[in-house]
Amino acid sequence: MAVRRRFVEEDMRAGATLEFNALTLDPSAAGEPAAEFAALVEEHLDGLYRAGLRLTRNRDAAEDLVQDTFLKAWRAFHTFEPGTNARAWLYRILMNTYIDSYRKAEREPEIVEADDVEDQYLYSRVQESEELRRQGNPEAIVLERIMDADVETALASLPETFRAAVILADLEGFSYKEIARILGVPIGTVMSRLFRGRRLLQKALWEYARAGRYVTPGGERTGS
Amino acid sequence: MTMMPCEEVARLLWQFMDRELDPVTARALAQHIRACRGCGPRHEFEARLRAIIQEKCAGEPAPEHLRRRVLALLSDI
Repeated sequence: MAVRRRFVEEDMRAGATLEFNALTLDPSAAGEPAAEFAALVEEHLDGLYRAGLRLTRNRDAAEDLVQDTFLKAWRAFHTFEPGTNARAWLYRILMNTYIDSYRKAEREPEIVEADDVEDQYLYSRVQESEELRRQGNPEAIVLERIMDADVETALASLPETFRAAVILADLEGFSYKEIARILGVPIGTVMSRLFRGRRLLQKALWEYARAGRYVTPGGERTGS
Repeated sequence: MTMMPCEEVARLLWQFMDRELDPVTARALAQHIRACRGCGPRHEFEARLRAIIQEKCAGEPAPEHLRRRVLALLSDI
C-alpha cells in the first residue's frame, strides 16, 4: 500500500505548471533509436490501442489514432530522455492527437454542477433500497447484476472529458499527477473530472441493476 | 486516538483507493475502515465494483496488422 506514496497537496500546488522533463535533448545517449523505439512499441501498443478504443469507440479510428500517435512519438523520439516515464509520454501524445484530430467538432461543455451527488452513489442507492434488503445481501446482489451488465457501453456513454479521466485512472492506472500531465490540466481538474465520471458511471450501472431487479417473471413492478 | 469521522472517510475514500492520500491520512482512514461496521463494507463494495469494471473493460489486444503497420514506420522515415 505504501509503495507508491503521493502527496496530493504538494501536487496541487505544482498543478498545471508541471512539465515533462523528458523533453530535453541528450545527444550523448545515442544508442540504437530504432531498436529502442521498437521496444517501446512492443511494450505499449496494446495499452494505447485499448485506450484509443475507449476514446474513439471505433476500431478503425483507434488503429489510426494509435498509428498517428507512434508516428508523432517517433518523430519526437530524439527529444525523449531514456529512463523517464515513456508510458505517460506516449499517452500524452495519444490524448493530444485524439483531441486535435479525432474528436467531434462540437465540444462538450465542462459541466460544473453543485456537488449534490455523493461520491459512492451506487453504494448509497443500494443501502436505501428496501427491495434489495428484503432479498438478503443487497451489496452482493447488485455486484452480481453488474457482472452481467454491459459495463463497456455504460463507460462509452459518459461525456468525453469524464470518460478520459476514468480511462486513465481506473483502467490505465495513472496517478492524478500523471493524468494532469497527460491532459495538460491542473490536478484539481483531474480529480473533479474523475469523480464526476465515476459518479456518472455508477448512476448508469445502478439504472442497469435496478432494471434487472424490477423486471421479474411475475411482471413489472415499480420501485421507490 | 480519535477516529476519523465517517463522513470524512466517505469523502476521502476514492483518493484513498487511488493511493493519493498522504501517509498519515491514509493510515487513519485504513484504521477506521478496519474498525467501522459502516465504512468497512462501503470500502469493500467500492473495491469490488472497481475490480468488476476493470475486468469488464479489459478490452482486447491490438491487432497484429496494426503492430506491423506501426513497426513499418521505423523503416519508412
